[in-house]
Amino acid sequence: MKRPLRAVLVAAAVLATLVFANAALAANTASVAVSHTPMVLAGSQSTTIHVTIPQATDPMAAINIFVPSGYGAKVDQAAGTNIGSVEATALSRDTGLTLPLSGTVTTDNPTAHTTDPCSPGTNAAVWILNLSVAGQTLAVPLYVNPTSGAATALGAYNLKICLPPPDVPIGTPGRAFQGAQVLDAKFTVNGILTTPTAAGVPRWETLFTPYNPGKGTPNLVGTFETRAFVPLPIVLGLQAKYNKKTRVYTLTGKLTEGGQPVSGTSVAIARGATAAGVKKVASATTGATGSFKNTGKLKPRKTTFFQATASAAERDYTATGCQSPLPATVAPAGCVSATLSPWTAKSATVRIKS
Amino acid sequence: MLAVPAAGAGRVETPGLTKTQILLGATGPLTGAESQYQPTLSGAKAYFDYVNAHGGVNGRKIVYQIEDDQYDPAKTVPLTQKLVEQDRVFAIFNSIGTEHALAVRDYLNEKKVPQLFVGSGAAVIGAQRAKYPWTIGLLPSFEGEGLIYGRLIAKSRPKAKIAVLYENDEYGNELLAGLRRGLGAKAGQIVSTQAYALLDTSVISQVTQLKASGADTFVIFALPKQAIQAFVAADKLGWKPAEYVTSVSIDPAVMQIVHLNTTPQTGTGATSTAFLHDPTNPTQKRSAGVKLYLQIMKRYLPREDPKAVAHIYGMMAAYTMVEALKQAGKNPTRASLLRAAQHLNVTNPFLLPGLKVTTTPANYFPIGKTYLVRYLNGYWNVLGKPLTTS
Repeated sequence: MKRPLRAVLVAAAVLATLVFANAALAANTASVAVSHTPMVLAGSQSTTIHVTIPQATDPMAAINIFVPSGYGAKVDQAAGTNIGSVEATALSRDTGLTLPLSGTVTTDNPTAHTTDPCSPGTNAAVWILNLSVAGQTLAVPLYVNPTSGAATALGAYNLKICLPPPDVPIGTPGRAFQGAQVLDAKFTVNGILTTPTAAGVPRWETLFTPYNPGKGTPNLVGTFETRAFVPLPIVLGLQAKYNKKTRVYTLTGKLTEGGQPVSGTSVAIARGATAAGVKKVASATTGATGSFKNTGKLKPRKTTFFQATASAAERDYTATGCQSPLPATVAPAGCVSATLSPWTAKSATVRIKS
Repeated sequence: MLAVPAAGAGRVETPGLTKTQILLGATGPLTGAESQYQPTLSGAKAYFDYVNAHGGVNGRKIVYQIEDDQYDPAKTVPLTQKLVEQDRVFAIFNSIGTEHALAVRDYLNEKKVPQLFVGSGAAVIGAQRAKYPWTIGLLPSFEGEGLIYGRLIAKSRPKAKIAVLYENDEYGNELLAGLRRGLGAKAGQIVSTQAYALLDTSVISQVTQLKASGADTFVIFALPKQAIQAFVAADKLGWKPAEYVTSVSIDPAVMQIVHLNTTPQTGTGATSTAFLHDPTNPTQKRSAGVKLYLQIMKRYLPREDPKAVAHIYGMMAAYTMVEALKQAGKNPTRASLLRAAQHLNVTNPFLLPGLKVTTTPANYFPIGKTYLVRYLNGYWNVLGKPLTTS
């Protein structure tokens, strides 16, 4: 090896060591966001759980997600049923590459998992996250159980995943395939969970237990809490009035999430000659009460349809959401993040005959 | 052993064959670091399952027994011996790896066991038919593929300064030889070559040196893992050459991973060759082959990724094998199967239009033509007419 190249490689190795050393020293963090499609009460179409873990955080040994009380769950599907999909990214420590993983979520027979170290005994349901990359499929079990005892304070159901350690030496039994460290995972299940019947903002608790860096053993005192708040329902109301004399129409509406007004949000107004053919023509912004208004003119003797849409991205809610964290006996490393659900809402279509 | 007299029956029993079943065997990496090739086996098995559900071959169901050699030729040998001597397979079909096929070739030819449709385009497989008649490959000739890139570069980039990354074995060496042959008088424009070994974990240092050569054209004769590293390394180094990459590394996941680690523009305009349908390419989604492929994936491999092109390769190989079995007669023997495999002229739905599987006793490269493809708008787009590789 020529000297300059060797120097570069040595420098890179030193840099990598420093990066990983920093990762070990830095405070661990992660976030979880939960959303439903649609964001309605007593709905069961689909639930999406989005887990984000920064690369600098120690690799995770276990993730326990708690479905809040008030939700229903149907967990009696036959083994092999396709119940959803999953998309993830993971850092391969062996290649230094970030890998995209995707696939289906299927049910498995719980009797085939009674000796799994992650959740031994009889589980109410076992879902398999079939994560594929370049033709290789990793089957990651997710264990579903109703909570009992003290855990009922955290939620009605527990969804548990265990991950193999990526940062132990190559060749160590049980090491993650290609040293894969999960950075982001979004999985959606359909027709499984039913949202609560009363308006509110259910809180999804998640407990993350990291590994002790480089050791492959869980760092129990490093267990931390994240929270995902899910405002239900999202309601976007729309009413229309028309003044035949002035030919001016007035649209008014109100946007609420979890029964509370949403202010400062842009609402897109679409119009068209048919209910299915509306296109965005204007926008309005909600005020402090969640109300919005839009006016315009129409040509006489025509039928015009209007619809409003609004959306919100996943939002950081840590300052408010992490108040009153779980006791240190449950989450010794505290509450590190909270999120508010992303959502998209559409009003009913309203019609004006001018 | 070709045949064993059945006790008291006065007729000859063919290993691996009963009135209701044909037993085929294979070895490949079902587990381990190289298990990305596993879909070539599961894809083939899924196609056999589909054929079995539709009556099998001449009333016989195909049983495909796959042994996990973890991509280690030292394990391929005893596992192949087990398949032949204990399990008594009719033929070895679609075993994975050139080195692995070579490790058992003498043994299988000595036993006169068909070693069919090896996933290799190496001359050491396809051109040694006289000495090893029982061994037939399947991939287009590696040297022929290299020849296509050489001719293309000589014509379209006559002043190119060429850097080549290649695997230091038959696969890479034959591609490089073909490139030189295709460049002809312009072969001197190869300003740098860098080799890597199959189990090398990184090719970054090789790419660094190739860039330092001042080349403006980068030819990547590498397997998917190293090809990804090469694209990423070139991007990180700020090197923007015209790129050519071998057909082995155009699975859609390759560019997906490259883009996740660079930018969506990386690899745009890269050139390769392709002979298989790409189920992710929207321009091919209406083809009968892609429709059949997706139907079989959904029915028989619901947990595996239909975007992985290796599955469709496995089905293409299995389709070829089924045609050979059909042509081998209602009561085939190993010898009649070999004769059939030497006389194929098959339109295979999993191949791109205009390509066929053709063999003769003097031609052991069943896929003799391929298309140029270019990576634009997120897909490998098929260009022009088929080009000859053999």
